[in-house]
Amino acid sequence: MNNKSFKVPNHLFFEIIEEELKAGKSVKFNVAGNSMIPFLKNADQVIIKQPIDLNVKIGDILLVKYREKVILHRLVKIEAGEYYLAGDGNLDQIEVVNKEDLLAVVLKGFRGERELRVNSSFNKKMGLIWYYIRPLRFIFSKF
Amino acid sequence: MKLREDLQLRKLGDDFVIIDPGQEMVDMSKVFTLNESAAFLWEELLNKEFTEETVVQILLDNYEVDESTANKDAKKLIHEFVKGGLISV
Repeated sequence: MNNKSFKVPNHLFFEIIEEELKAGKSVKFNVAGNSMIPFLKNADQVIIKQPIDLNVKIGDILLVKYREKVILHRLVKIEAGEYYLAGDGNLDQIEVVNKEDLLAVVLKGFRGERELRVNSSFNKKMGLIWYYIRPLRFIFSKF
Repeated sequence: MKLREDLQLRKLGDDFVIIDPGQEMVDMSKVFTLNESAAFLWEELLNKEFTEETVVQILLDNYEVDESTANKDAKKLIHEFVKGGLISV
């Protein structure tokens, strides 16, 4: 037995999380990967919950099922019943999912003891602006 | 001593994990992994008052180990359970 971090297949881990979310509980877990940099980074912790009627808003960070995997990215557009998500740290990829793929919304984030105000409207706006300036970020990434 | 009854043993691939379901929030950022024999012991010990001798006896009854190994393993396991906060004393 140990309590250091260990890797488990993504889908098994989120099977448990999905069950708890459906039971109406909030779930805390460690973020893996850096696709949400600078707003969330690897080993930050988030608390997520299934919103009532899966009612989500642009700017929210969502946990969604995407191509047999589960990802935590920002909602940047809703159009014709489809939900467009983007990783804050990514420069070009967008994931498109349907309502039934939505699992939860991020309520809180932590980096160590410090609370990250990921759910403040300011932070959500900044996240969206960060997304809109992707072309600029792309250019700067070349230098 | 007793195992905490509020905890849940779940199978996760080839491993077993102990999760703390909590009332409102499930904390999956701190899960304890158990190997198969530790998970077996967990189920054997659940809901009963036990001592180190109980663990030694379970090990002797179910695994091909001599008494000194069983003693050593039982001590180690209980130590890990206590350290992980899985036991209510």
